[in-house]
Amino acid sequence: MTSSRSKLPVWFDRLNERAESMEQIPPELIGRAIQDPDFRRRLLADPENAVKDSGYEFDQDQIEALRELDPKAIDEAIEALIGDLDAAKWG
Amino acid sequence: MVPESNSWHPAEVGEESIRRIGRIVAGLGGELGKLAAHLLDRHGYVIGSDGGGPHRNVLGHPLFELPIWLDRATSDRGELAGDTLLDVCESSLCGYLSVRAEDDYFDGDWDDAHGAMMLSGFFRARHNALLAPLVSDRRFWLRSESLWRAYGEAMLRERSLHEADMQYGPEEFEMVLDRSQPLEIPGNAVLSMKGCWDRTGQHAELVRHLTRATQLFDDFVDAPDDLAAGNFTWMVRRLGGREGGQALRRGMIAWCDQVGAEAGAELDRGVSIATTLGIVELTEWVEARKRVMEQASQRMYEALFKSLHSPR
Repeated sequence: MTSSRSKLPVWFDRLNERAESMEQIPPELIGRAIQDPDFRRRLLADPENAVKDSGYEFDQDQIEALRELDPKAIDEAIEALIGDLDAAKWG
Repeated sequence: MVPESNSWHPAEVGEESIRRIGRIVAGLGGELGKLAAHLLDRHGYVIGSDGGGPHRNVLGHPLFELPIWLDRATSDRGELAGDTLLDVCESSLCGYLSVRAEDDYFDGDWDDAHGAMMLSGFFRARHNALLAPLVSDRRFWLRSESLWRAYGEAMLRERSLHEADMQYGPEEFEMVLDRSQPLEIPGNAVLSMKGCWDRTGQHAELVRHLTRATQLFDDFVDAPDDLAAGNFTWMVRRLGGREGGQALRRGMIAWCDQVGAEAGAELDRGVSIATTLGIVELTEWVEARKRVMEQASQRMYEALFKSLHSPR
């Protein structure tokens, strides 16, 4: 019998795997990426070394999740930027 | 209401200028009156009967601030009378509105070419008419002519620069900035009236740094819309927009801090020149803008990392 999951497109499984990988990323590292621009820059440009330099050990899926950011997350982030500016700009 | 002295806050002088424009527009009538009222409303330059408004863009240009700051910075030469300063500030707003009418049409936000031409002509005429009785120095008028010529050239050339196969780099970006340089004119009028024409060079540099900072950040935020409209600005190219929308959005994530730092550095250079000119108020103005930009950037990264970390 074929599982319902296997009927889904391959990209969907990959997205789910990636999301699961992100969930395993320590919240303190996420917090630092939000708060510390220098760390964030290194994390986005070279996630493998940025994580290693921070004393964490990530598997390849986790590194890939950081390297290949989820397009939906990117869209939400840019919408947040534009929404925040619209609110601030026009008071 | 006429301010007694330049101790007024720029926001108060700005509001009074907007009220004066509102009365003029109300008296215009006809087609021009309707178009002018629509333009003022579209850009938040309206004060309602309940006292609400205006709604100025907090990242916008210092239309009213620069003439007032320059008057204070040259107070050793006396202070301009309140109604004189108000005329200069109203002229500043009229010059800006003439640009907005044309820019809205060029950007595709307003499809009435005839309306844009006529309205812009009216506001440009009033901009000049308010300054004509105040400034007799020929150097001021030649500089103004030169600024409006460069503005026109930049507006026209920017259209073709947006084509994907055109070269559009830092040099072209500098030329396009001439669109904003008429912002100098009201400040130049103050310096001329105060007998400080020798300071106009530094004032021009100050305006350049402030408008460069604004344009960098605006182009960054507008990049998705610009790409969608086929406008390959320098920023769209820097962010990787030639590779498509997804690449551009990834570029925005990667470059947001960098663009913010570039805009911040331009604002800091402006503060440095302002200090030389004796303008002390710019520091607070700049810090407020930096805060808005930093908070927006922070919100973006928060949304990104929280979204990545949340189960879907």
